[in-house]
Amino acid sequence: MSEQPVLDRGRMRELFDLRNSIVMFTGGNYTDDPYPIWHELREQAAVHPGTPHELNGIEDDLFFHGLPFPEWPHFTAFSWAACDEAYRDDVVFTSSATAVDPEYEGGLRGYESSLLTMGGAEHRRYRSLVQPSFVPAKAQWWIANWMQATVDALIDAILEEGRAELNVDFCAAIPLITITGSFGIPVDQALDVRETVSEPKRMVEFLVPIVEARRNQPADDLISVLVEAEYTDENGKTHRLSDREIYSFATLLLAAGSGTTWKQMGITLAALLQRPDVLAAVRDDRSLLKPAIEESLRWMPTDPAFARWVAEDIDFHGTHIPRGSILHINLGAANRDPSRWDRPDEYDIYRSLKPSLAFGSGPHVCLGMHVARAEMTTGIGALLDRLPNLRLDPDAEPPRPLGFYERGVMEIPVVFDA
Amino acid sequence: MISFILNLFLLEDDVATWSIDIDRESCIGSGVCLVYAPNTFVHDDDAKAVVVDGATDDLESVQNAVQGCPTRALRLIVEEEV
Ligand code: HEM
Ligand code: SF4
Repeated sequence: MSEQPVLDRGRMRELFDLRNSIVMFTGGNYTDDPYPIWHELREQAAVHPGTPHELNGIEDDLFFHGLPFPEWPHFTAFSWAACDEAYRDDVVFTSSATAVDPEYEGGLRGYESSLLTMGGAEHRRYRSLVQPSFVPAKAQWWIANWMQATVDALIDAILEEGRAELNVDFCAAIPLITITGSFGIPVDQALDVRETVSEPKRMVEFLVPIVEARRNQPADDLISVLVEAEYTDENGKTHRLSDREIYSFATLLLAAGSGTTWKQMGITLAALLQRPDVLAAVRDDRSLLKPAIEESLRWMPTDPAFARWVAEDIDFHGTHIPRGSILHINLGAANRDPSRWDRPDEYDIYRSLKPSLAFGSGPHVCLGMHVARAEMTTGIGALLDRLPNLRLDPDAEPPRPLGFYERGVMEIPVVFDA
Repeated sequence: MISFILNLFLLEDDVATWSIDIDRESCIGSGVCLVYAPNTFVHDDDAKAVVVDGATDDLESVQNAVQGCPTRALRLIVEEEV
């Protein structure tokens, strides 16, 4: 069995409490099902004025991508066609406020000038530096280096107990340790790093010595790839990433890649556990795990809305959007557009596979999608392999989705034959 | 831009010859096409999509890949029915 130390469960529960103060800002206390309202709104118009949460009747000021930006007009797209088109048109629908208004100073706290907010040629150049480490063929590198040992250790820790809470004690830990591991940060510091997720400056303190060490002596990890990556500019001059650029990219990865995959794995596990026949089918035929994960991404993407800053006046799917507005792409609603999927509200792993917008689209499509898929496949696969007769704990509250801009399930209490 | 020719199985065992154009400038190496048509697309060393010899996905999978490509780098053109 593996030697990997296991994370302190009490501290994990504190840091990964969906109702904790940070998550509250994104609508953590929202417990309704948002989808009926999204269906209604989509039937009325493809695009509505207003933010997604206002349109769902939430009066609190929530924070997320493109929010609050109180002085900008807000619109939200609900149909598949409108969301897909907005994603693909990065000239009109840009990824940062400063692309529309160079003087604007509000920005996205901490992320102005990262991959997420760049545009055009600059974005392409940066993205092409990092993309090779995130392609499907690299999944095995990620699994062997940082996922498998963590997954094994987490299961070892519960194997003999016959019961467990899988959301925090399992799902949350895997993506965190994968990313910090890829930075070269040891497991026993992973939680310290996670604590800094909303304070990029403190996060950088962990990275400084590592970047310096890898510049002297590369290792088999992501930071080494970043310090060695080279690009050629318009004038044919070769550049390497500066330390600051590496810190900013690493900070983005931690923010974009740990909470998302945690919650999506929880959503997927809960969906399967609540449908014992489907769970049994996946256990018996592991080729069904891929459609089970893809369907979970379509049916309940953890982050259902991302924003774009509108650079030109445009008549867009029946609504006039002035330059200087923010368009929220409600990809959660697009993923259940009945013009694209029959019975869109059903979680059906047997439907024929079609691209959804769970990972976005266009040039900013999720960089970590194959890492996320590998984490969910490795994690859920190992649970099915090693926990016989895995089922929901019949005496506990069943898992229920909550949250608005960051959706997930609170707890996944299970029992199994020890 | 590079073109690949491939034979795809349609309904009723019909086979048609298709070609796929890959615009290497637009391809960002997202790997979306490898998810939907894993027996057709791979990445080369520059993380650009290319078509494998003897691709075996059905037409629907390849259409999903083409449609799912986030930067519209793929185009599927029917050449001839066999
Ligand atoms: C199931 C889990 C995940 C989901 C649902 C998800 C979803 C998304 C979405 C929708 C976007 C587009 C944002 C936009 O439209 O502005 C995005 C971007 C991004 N994601 Fe993910 N993500 C997941 C996991 C990951 C992981 C594991 C990583 C890293 C290891 C990651 C890294 C990124 C990065 C760097 C971007 C910005 C890409 C760019 O702007 O070019 N994500 N993600
Ligand atoms: S989906 Fe498009 S951008 Fe992504 S690898 Fe395939 S061709 Fe390239």
